[in-house]
Amino acid sequence: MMGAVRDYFEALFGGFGAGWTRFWFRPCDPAPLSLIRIAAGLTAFYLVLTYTPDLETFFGRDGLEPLEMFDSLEQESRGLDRQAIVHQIRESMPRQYRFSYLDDLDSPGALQAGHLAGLAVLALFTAGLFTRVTSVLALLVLLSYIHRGPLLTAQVEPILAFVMFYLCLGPSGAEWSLDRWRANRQAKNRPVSLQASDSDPPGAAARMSWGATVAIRLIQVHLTLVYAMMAVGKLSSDVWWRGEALWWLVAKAESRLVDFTWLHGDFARLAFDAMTNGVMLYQLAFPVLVWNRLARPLVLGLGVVVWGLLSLVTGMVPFALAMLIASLAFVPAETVRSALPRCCE
Amino acid sequence: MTSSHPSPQSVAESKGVPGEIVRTAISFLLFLHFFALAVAIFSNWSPSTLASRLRKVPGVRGYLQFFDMDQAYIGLYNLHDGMSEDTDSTVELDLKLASGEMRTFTLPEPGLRPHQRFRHFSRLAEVAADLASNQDLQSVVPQAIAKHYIARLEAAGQELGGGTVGEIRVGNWLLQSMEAMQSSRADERDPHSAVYYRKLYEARVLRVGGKVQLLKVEEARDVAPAASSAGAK
Repeated sequence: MMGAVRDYFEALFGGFGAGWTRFWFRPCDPAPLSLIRIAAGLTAFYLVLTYTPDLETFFGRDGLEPLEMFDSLEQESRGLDRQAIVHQIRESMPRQYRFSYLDDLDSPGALQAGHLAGLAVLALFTAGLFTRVTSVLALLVLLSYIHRGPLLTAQVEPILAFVMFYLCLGPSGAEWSLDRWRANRQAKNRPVSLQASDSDPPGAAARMSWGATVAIRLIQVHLTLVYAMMAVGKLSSDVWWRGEALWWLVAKAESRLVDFTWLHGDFARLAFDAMTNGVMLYQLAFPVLVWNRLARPLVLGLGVVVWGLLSLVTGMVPFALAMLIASLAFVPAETVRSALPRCCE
Repeated sequence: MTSSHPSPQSVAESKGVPGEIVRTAISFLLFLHFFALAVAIFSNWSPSTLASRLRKVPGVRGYLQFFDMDQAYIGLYNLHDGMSEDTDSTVELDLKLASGEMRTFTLPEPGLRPHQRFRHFSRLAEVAADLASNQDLQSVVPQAIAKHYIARLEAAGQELGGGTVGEIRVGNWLLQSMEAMQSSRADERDPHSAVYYRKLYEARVLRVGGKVQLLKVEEARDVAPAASSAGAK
């Protein structure tokens, strides 16, 4: 009896260990990671770029978000139970543990220079130049804007922050990057005796990396958790259960991108009800079905429809984009390579 | 007993898999990372006592906050809860110049492009509206807004008088129901009609000794009745 129990646990731990190693460390093609770098880099560049006309308005000496305001928000809210504050405000509260290189730049010239430097770093990261360094710097740039203007941030920033954090951990500049172009050029210029022989694996195979696996898996697991939390939240919310949530999002006249309120009447009510339940069902199904090889293409394809719809209704285009960008971690490397033209390589 | 799974050794011996020491070190870091992430998820939304205490594990809060992972994932990504804070909010500031001319600033300014720029101002107005119910914090954002626009006017050479120089209002736009869209009343069909506006906070903007201060305007129902009128009925 004891032997059977011991054998069971040996098999259990052995199986878990092998599965764990396979899941996290089996080398993979870094192509999806490189695609995510380009997409996330462009989105971060756009987000930071949108601060350009309002830099002084927000972060200047007499700006709308003076650092002294953070102190008073911190002091006042620290006295209270932080958890007792409405969650929407809590998300916007200045963090106790924060970093922003913008804190020390309050003169218009310094602020502009710091902003341009940040944009330059994001551009270099997107282009994949010195990616190991620029990926970390790009994350610090994004975090600097998040921590300097917490009252201006919403759903997109935390998604982009975790994606860019994980991009720092893997070889995100391995493909479609200036790093790759430089490496190819150096290889061509090498003496013939040092050039790759026929027995060496071809380019993509040679670049298989367990670092890429760790980074891609982290994005996959984190994204799955976000979807699961989205679904749990909706399941506990009356307006989603009643099928009304999408109408209330449409009715936000100030923030929507497209006005769908001309859709009313019985048929429209049923349509909004169906779409609300569709969004809820999608977010409920994603964490489970995306791990199934057969269901994955369908889940990812539906994601484009769901997030496309939500971005029109809510006006949160960068957020919808960030969710789709993170979903790229589930796209197989072969699909990514076949979808991108050879000239990009 | 045989297992259909490959042993950890055989998997690890596959080409390109890192050595055992590296795998162990990374696995440990992954455990710490997911532990912190679990704390963020469970402690930011109706937290249990355990979840609240786990936030105090050294390093957890700092790690989560620095990387912007200290989020109430349920609340933040629900998009709409049917609560009053799920509406569009607005801040309006009226400033009176020394010449008697009035200048009005609205946050967010309608039609601001690109839309992400609009969203920055919209978020600021949302925070001001959400804080309006909190006696300790309600004036923090409106005061910064008033201070900014006064400084802007002065930088542009516009003079303001002393004492009360204007008024600031924080409000939100209640959402129209589907029935209201079909109403025969024009004001019910207009999302920007006064029937949908709800004032959350109102204050006079004062300049005292060069500093900007706010004096909250209390609604009549918020003001305690005068002692003499208490027994009048």
